[in-house]
Amino acid sequence: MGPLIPSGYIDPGWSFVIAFIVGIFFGFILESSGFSSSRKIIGLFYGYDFTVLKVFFTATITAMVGLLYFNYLEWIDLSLVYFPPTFVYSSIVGGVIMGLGFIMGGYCPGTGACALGIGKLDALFFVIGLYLGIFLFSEAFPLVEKLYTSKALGDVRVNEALGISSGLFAFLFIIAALAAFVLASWIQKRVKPVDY
Amino acid sequence: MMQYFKHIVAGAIILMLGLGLVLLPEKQKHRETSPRQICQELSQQERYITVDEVADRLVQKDPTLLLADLRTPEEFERFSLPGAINIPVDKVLDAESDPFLNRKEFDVVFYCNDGTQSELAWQLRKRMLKTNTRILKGGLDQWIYDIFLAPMPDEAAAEGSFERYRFRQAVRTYLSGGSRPFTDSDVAPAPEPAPKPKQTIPLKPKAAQPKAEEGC
Repeated sequence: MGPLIPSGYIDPGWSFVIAFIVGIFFGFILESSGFSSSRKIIGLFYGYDFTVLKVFFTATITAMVGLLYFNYLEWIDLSLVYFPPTFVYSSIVGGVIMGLGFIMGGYCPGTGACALGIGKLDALFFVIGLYLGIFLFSEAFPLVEKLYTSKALGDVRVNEALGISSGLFAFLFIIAALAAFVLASWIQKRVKPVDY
Repeated sequence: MMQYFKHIVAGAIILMLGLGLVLLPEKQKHRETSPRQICQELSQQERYITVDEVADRLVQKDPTLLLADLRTPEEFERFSLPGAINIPVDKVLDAESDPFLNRKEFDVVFYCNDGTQSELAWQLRKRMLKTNTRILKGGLDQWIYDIFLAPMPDEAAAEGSFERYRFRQAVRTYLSGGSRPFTDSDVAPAPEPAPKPKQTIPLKPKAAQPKAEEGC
């Protein structure tokens, strides 16, 4: 039956209302998990706190396994679910810029907004910087357009690009996630605890 | 070790679920019914709905019944079954037909003059994995013959035949909007109501059957 909006169960006009409600819960859970603390987030880079890695990996594999089973049971048609097209070079460049910003600012866009919500001043500057960046990018877009659109792969899924089944890819990804959990715990034990 | 117990259990569960995904057959690539299966189903009768059953559901005002007239708009204008919508056979796959045909709450019944186009449309729908479609057996020819011409059964006919005859008469009265006697003009709009619809109509589905089996 799903996805609900493309399948016509919910009018597309409701999508922003639903996004607003889901966004509130997402922000609430981020805050509850301690993700409004830039020190906790940055702990991933310095190796003293791997909560971010564990939470996001857990969320990813849970959603992935759930969606693939739902797709198998025909509760959702994954071919109707939108995901953005892939542009290889701009993804690499954008990923590096975002990673640097992540380490410098201590937030990603979502957690930055979340921290601003509870009144953190550093998050205020982070969000101002974020919008400044969006503005500059938009204004300078003609200059970077060639890079932005180069090596377009379209709506490609990782398993399709690798030529394996989605189930096998999911299984390998789960193994990678579990390995990352074990490795993270091993590193965390050997790094000096930081009080924050 | 005990402190990690819950992590190990959670890890084992997700790993097993992942393994299940590897073992599940890939579904995405088989989004169509296989020709072999369609061929098999063509030799069966489940795809047909009889004139009497449709008439009964029309009289009961069954809201789940969706009659789709596959003939041309001109033919549809001249004569159609009550409540039917016109989806010419070449528009069955069009997006504008989706709101009618792709709704699980409807039992879609295709009809045309003799059932040929309905067979084609049914096969298209079947191939698209739509299972809520059936064909009015014998098409409008059969409808005219059974409901409007409704021949009186012989005296030697089985008991059910008289009941069916009375039912058809009642349907005819209901559909003509009262007790008005049936006249030639009721049949006239239908293409060639002809003196011998009796002979042509029942033959066609029967002729299609062995053909389908040979195809396999």
